[in-house]
Amino acid sequence: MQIDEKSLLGLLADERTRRNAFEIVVRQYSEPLYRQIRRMVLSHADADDVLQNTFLKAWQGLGGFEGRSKLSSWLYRIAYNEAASLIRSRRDSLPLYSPDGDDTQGVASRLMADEFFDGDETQAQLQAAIHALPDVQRTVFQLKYFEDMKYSEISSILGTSEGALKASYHIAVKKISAFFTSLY
Amino acid sequence: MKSKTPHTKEPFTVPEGYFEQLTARVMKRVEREAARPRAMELPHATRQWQRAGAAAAIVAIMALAGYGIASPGDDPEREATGPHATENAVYTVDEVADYAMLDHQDIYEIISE
Repeated sequence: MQIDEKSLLGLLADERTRRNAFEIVVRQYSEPLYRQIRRMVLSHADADDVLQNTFLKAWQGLGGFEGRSKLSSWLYRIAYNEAASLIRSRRDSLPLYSPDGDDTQGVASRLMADEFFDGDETQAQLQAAIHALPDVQRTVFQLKYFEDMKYSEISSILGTSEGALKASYHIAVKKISAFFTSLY
Repeated sequence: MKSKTPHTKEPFTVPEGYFEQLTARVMKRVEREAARPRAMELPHATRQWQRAGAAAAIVAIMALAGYGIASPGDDPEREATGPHATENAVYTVDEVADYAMLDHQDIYEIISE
């Protein structure tokens, strides 16, 4: 049973009901947050870590959340920051999924070998091409294409204007199309 | 056994029962966090000494920084072209790339126009 955001915020604001309300938040938002995180970090193990850290940060930050944005947008923003932080920390190491535009084929191959990846080679190539985009461009594309999210909500998550997001999405689509054109 | 993440065109899967178990795992961490003791309140006199020490450290750092800026023999041109400058320039391009939603190739093309 889903509880609307307004009711949840009321329950979170009350110390007596905060813990139970937060458990509902975790239950209600874990799947959509996981999907966003997993698209960014690609491996299930990393997505699991980032998702747990996201909820812990949300719990710690509840006191500072004033409800000016939607609860879901706030959670997405924390998730995005946590995932982006993990990706940045991996830049100088040799991770499973390195955000290196020159290694798109390597990313696709590793996805095909991943036990928690159920797609074909074309889907692996698509994920690798998306993974090679700059952080914000990639997130805009993923939220728009896979979640069909409105630009107004993406703007609230990333703190970027809708116009800039539309331009960014257009650039991302062109790059991914060009990538597939070069393959076939 | 694997479960597909529902309502998605994407091919990512999760271990069986992952989301069912996730809430309990997260709430355990939340409870551990909530049970952590708050930072101890120091006695008033100790806090005053702490503040005095912090103020002295800040003054010392500012004095050293001022000496570093004003000291003769610094070569601003060398600072701008040395290895640290290159490292900083790359880090700045990364930041610009992320926030301008452009990749490095886009930026270099713009700069070279």
